[in-house]
Order: sequence, then C-alpha cells, then structure tokens
Amino acid sequence: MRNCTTRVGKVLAFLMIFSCLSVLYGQKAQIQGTVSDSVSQKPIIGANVILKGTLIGTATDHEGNYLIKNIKAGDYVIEILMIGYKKIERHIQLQAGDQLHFDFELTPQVLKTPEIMVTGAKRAMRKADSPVSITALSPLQIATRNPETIEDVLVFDSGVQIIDGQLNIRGNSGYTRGAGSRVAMLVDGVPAMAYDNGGIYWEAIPVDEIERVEVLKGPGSALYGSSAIGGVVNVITRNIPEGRATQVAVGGGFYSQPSYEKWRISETPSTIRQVKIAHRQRRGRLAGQFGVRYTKDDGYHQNDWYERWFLEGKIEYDWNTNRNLVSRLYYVDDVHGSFTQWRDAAHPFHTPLNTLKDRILSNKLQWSTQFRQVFSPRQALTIRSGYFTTWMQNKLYNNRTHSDAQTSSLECQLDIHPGNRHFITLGTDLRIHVVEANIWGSHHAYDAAIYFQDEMALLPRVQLTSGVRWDWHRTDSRTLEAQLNPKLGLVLRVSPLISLRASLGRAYRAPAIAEMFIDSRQYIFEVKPNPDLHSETSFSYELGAFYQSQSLMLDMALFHTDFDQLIDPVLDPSDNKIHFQNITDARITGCELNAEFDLPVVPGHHKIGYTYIYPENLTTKEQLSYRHNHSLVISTQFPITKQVLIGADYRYLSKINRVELFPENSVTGADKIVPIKLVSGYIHYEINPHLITNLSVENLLQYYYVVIERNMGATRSVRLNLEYTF
Amino acid sequence: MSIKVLKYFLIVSVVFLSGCEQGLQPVGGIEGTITFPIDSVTQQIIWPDSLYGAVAVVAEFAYPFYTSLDSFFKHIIAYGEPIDTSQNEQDYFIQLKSGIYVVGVVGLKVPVAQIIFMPKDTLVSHPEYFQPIGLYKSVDSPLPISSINVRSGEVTSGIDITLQYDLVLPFK
Repeated sequence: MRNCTTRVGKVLAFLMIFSCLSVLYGQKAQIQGTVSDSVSQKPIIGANVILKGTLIGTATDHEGNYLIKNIKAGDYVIEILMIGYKKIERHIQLQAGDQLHFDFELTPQVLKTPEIMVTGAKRAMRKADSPVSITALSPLQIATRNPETIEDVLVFDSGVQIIDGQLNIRGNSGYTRGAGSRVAMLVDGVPAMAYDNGGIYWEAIPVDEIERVEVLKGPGSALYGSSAIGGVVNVITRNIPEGRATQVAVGGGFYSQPSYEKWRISETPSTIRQVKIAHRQRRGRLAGQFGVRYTKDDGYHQNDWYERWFLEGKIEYDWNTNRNLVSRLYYVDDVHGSFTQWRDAAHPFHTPLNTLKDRILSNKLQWSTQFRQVFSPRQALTIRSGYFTTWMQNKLYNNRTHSDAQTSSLECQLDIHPGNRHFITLGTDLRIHVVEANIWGSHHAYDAAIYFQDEMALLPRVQLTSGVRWDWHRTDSRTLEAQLNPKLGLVLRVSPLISLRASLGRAYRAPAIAEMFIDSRQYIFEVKPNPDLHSETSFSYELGAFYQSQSLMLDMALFHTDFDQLIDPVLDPSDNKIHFQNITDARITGCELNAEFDLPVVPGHHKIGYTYIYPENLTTKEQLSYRHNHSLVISTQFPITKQVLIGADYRYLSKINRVELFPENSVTGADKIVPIKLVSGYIHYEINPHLITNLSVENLLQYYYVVIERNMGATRSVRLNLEYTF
Repeated sequence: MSIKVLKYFLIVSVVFLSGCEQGLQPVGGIEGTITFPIDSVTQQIIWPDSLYGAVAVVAEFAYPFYTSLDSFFKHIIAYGEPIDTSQNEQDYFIQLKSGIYVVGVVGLKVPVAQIIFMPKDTLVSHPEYFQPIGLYKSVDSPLPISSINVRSGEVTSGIDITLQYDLVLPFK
C-alpha cells in the first residue's frame, strides 16, 4: 500500500509539470502600485488587490506594493480589501501593453473581522454574499492569546465548543473521546485529519504565520466530502512577504495553583516554556520559510504534561501573477503523559495512581502542495495534493497500543467565470488511506469524488448557488458506498447594507477505522469492534440575515439539522463492552446571533456571539449528550495607545445537558456539573516595529468546572511571549 | 485618554465579574486505605480468582442496625472507583453529603465495566454480583461494623479497611 501512495505522488508531479507547460501568453497589460493607510500613511501589508468579477488578484508585500501582470485588455473594476479598512473600488481601462500605476489609500473602519473568505465556496467571497454562516478569526485575534494550538482560539468563536479536544460547531459532534470528528479540518484547503481515529490532532495544525482561520458553520460535504457533516475549519496560512526576516520568540508562563491545598498536584505551579526561531526570504519568484518551535508544558493535571517539537517549512514559486506553486511541510514530535479522569472527587487534578507513568508518543507529518494556474480572467485551475501521516504509540499501565496511518490526497479544481456574477466550480478529489495498528488492525480505504457548484445571479439582487458532490467510499474489500450530497443557497441583497440568505444541503460522514475496528481497553473501559458500521448522513436548513454598516455588524441565523443513522458509542449489555453503532436519528435546531460594534458609552470595540441549540435524540426523545444548550462569547478590545492594545473575553457555556458515563448523583452529590464561566484578558504591546510582546491570562478568575465528567478544566494560566524580528 | 481607559476597565470589570462565581468547590466524604491480605509464604497479595475487582461501598445508617449482609446491601447508596488489586494498599475516597453511614468493600463477580455503567441501585437489585470482603470498624469498637458521621463539605479520614474473604455479619 505504501507503493500505492508513492504512485499517487508521481501522478501528482506529472500533472503539475504538465499544467505548468500548458499555457502560452500573448501581449498583455500590467498594473502596479502601493496600498497605504490614509491616517498613518504607513504601507499596508497583505491587502487583497482583486480585479472584481475575475479570478485574478494578488496581495501587497511588506512595503505595501502590488503587481499584477498579464492582464487581458478590457474594462475592469479593481477592488482593494483589507481587514479593518473600508473597501475601495475603482474602474480601470486597460489596453494591450499598458503598464499602469495606481496607488490606494485605505481608510480604517471599525470592523476587525476578516470580510473575505474562501471556505464557503472554494473561492474568495465576501461574507455578505455567502449563503451559509461563516466566520473568521484574524491574525491579531490569534496572536494576542499566545495559543499553543488553534484549539485555544477557536473557542472564542460563537457556536464553537471544544469538549476535551473534540471540536463541536453548533453541537454537531458531542463527545466520543476524539474519534470520528464531524468537522473537517483543513490547512489551506487540504484535509489535515488522521484517518485511523478520524479525529483532529490539534498539535499538528500550524499556529504561526496564519492569515486567518475560517469556520464554516453548517454542512460542507457538497464541497469537502466526508467529515464536513457538521462544518469546516480552514486554517489559511500567510503568503511569504517580500524581503528577508528572521524571527526569534521566547515565551513562558504558568498555571496557577488551585486555591484549595488538597487539590494541588505539586508544591510549585506548573510551568510552560516555549522558544521559536523562524526565517523567511523572498528573492524574485522564489520564496522560502522555515521555522522550529519547542514547547514544554507541565500541564495543570497530574501526568498531563507534554514536550513538543514543531517544524514548519514553506516554499512559494511564482512564475508570474497567474501561475504559482506553494508547498508546505509540517512535522510535530510529541511526547505526553495521559490523564483520562481524576483520581477521585477529593483529588480532581490528580490522576489515578496506577496511571501515573502512562505515556503517549506520537509524531505527525503533513505535506501539501498547491499549484494554481489562471488561464484567463475567466478560467483557473488549482491542483492540491496532500500527504498526512500519523504515528502513535500508547504506553499505558494496562496496555500497549500503536497505530500508523497515512492519507494521500489529490484534488483538481477548475474555476470558470462565464459572465458577470456567474461562477462555476468543478473538481475531482481522490484520497487513499492506509492504517497499520495493533489497536484496530491493518486496513486500507479509498475515497473518490466529483463535485460541481454553480453560482449565478438570478436577478440583479439575487444570487443562487447550487452544487452537488458525489462521493464513493470503500474500506478494505467491503461494499462500495456511494453518497450524493447536493446543496442549494440563495442570497438576497436587500440593500447595500443588508443581505438575507437561505440554504439547504445534505452531508455525510464515513465511519473512521477506529469506530469500526477498535479493540482496546483504556483504564476501566473496554471497547470492541463493529465492522458493520455505515455512513451517517444529515440534511440541514439555514435562514440568515446580515447587516453591516460603518460601526455595526449583525449576523443572525436559524438552523435545523436532521441526522440519520448517527454513529454513537453504546454499551452492549451482553458483554459490557462499548462499541460504536448507527443508532440514533437525531435533530439539532437552534439560532445564533453575532454582533460587532462600537458604543459611544463604552470605549473600545466589542463583539457578542450567542448560540442556542436543542439537540434531540428522535428515538429516545432525550437530549443528545455532551452538548451545551446555550453559549455566549463577549469580546472587547481597547487601544490604549497606537502601540498598546488591551482586550478581555467572557465565555459562558450552560451546563452540559447530559452525560453518558457518570451522571450527577443526587443522593451523594457526586459528579456535579456546573456551567462554564470564564474570563480571559490580554495586553498586546508593539514596543517597536521589531519587538512585540503579548501577555495573556486565561481563566483569570480561577473558576473551577469539569469539561466532561471527572475531568477538571484548566486553572488560571498566564503566558508572556516576546517576539523579535530582524 | 486616561478617563477613557478607566471607564473601559470599570465597565468591562462590572460586566464580566457579575457573570462569574467560583464554580466547583471541595467536596465532603470519607477516605481511607484498603489493605489486602498477604500470603505469609509467598508475600504475594491474596486475591480470589473468582473476583474481577473490588469497590468500596457506602450504606446509609439504618436502625435497628444491620442484622445480615443482605440488609446492609439494601441500604447501599454509593460506591467508589474500582480498586487496583495489584497493590497491597490502596487509598479510596467516596463523596457524600452530610449524614451517618457505614462503609464496606465488595468483590465483583462480574467485570468492573459492567457495574460502572449500571444504575447505582445495581448493588441492591443484584446482590448475586457481589461478595462482601470488608467492613469498616473502628479500632476501639467491640462491634464488627462501625458507623461514621460525615459533616457537610468535610472529608472524614482514616476509614481504613482490611479485606477478609470469608466475611459474615454475626448480628442476630
């Protein structure tokens, strides 16, 4: 099977070379110029410069310069977009051979959230034009919180909850010890998920050099296939800017001791240490970037420490504005202790004595390459290849398990822009998975898919999106499973400030190898295989409204998802072993409200996100377990000076509605669960253009809560990070 | 600027602090050590092959006092974490509200996972799954079983139990 993976690599290389040689150019025009801040007059780095209604665009370098070559003669609208600035549009006329210069000054505006996103339609699209709910986290939102993984910042997005590492968007996933994620995780559009347990390894996802993180809150299978049944998270990395720079960062912090002496796991607070060095350089068409990060975290639970090396590399080659190649490599080596549940309620941060020496060793490697060729303003081809491998070894007191999983993927996407406000996206997607393990055996699986999406203007103010993806999935030599996932979306621009949206779509998730074949015991829990599992499916509807003015953004959504044959872990009473089964027909209904605004009475910039869900098991008429019915995020940010920014967040999650293993005992008071109420804060200080420091505090008020039963949430943590770039 | 900063801090503090409290707090209950008998010749722990594991159990105090093990089972309200049978001494803790209780240890005739996932009244409804192998008695008590007074939010320590595999309650 390894040979098969190698063959895929060869085919990909051939396709790329073939694509590179396939286009010839006639005499074309070019435009260049600079983009700067109208107030400070400083150049703006990373502003999007797009020829509106075409597939042509670029971003400004670190001096605010942009250059677009090989533009066919004609009339265009040039559009300049940047987070935190008012958009500029200007009509231009180009003749063959023109070399024109346009400078732009962007005016700062209140809204800090990224406005242009790519995950909803696999092409750049304004949030207001998206028929589905989509949000994004900006680089500043990420950097100020000193995250070790993206998990640490995603929780500040409304409707996103992470239950002991398991990603939930609007309550779609629940909790299954990380197996079988119902949210697809992508890095620059390429899947980054382990095939063996079907989950997300947060430590393998890059956290530095991020342009933004997009969160699609709804079914994404019509474009992304399996796992996108409950949404998509797409980490978009930054293009390497012009010039050369080296960055050295050191960080450190600690977890506060619990206030109650008996809860303490050591005499002194647990510490966090981190050091990072990175270098990037662009010379002409070629750019490269390399970084290494080391983290040692003692953890706030006993035996919950980790030691981690993260290496990243990136190469970009631009033949010209219309043709480029990007290749990325991420490698993480991780050793950590294992904390499954507390020793007892009197020692909630201690692990059971017999698990004190449990260890988990793992490494993960992700290599992805993207080639993009813009043939004309109306046609572009994107080829993405990916290789994701994970190796994991558990050294637990009562068992020794290992698993080695590899996924190779190849996706070809063709974008066609037949006319004004009409976009067609079509593509093929092939994935091959190989798993070798003693915990769930040796298996292989295949996924193949074709997809098609058509976005067209029905009326001047009405945009219709329709699409379908046909997936074929086979595990080992079992029956080939076919899934057809259509979607339909409608956006009505009521006024320049208001748009209404409606969407519906089908989605699916194929069972992970772990869910089908696991045969293991961890602590007291024994899990047995169920090879007869088949895919779970869903059908979702959403209605939404979006309003954006100079000082206020409002986004509202009503959503409804019907799940069919949901895969859930259940206990077999005949042998008292847990196994996964297609057992539940379920429904999740809810609403979400997001607002971003300035208020004259409260200085600063503020965001509020509220989500309500009602997750119901249609068979038992009970609520689905491990969901928070209400979640609220309030974020506020205030620039004290031009160099100093302070901010604070409040997160509220209502009490987990139902747990499976250890429900609250009303007689003894054991296994009590409380709502989660967390306050965090940060100070961002740009000492000079080369030196930046971020101080962040999570769980500022030292609130004690369980994330799932018998597993305490983190105590207060304080982190300071200092970055020097030269 | 400084007034603005002050105003910002004041409003944010009031809004955020008003939504917070302390959350979970230390719980009350009993704790102690369970001691396994040791074979004097091999110095190994004596553990019957017929038992899958053991858990500490708590029964509500009943009056008149228990006359048999069956009556003890009928009043069981809680049990602790599974006990590791590979070590000759094992600490345990059981969370309890204030009240008067008696404490024992039962061996499991079924796999540990089976009782962990079962309703808490399993011990009452299925006494055949369990074999009593220990009861707490205070050192200075002439009786074979002692009651324990647990106060709200406090942990009563030193509830140590030595296992006996031929345990009976001699009350008549």
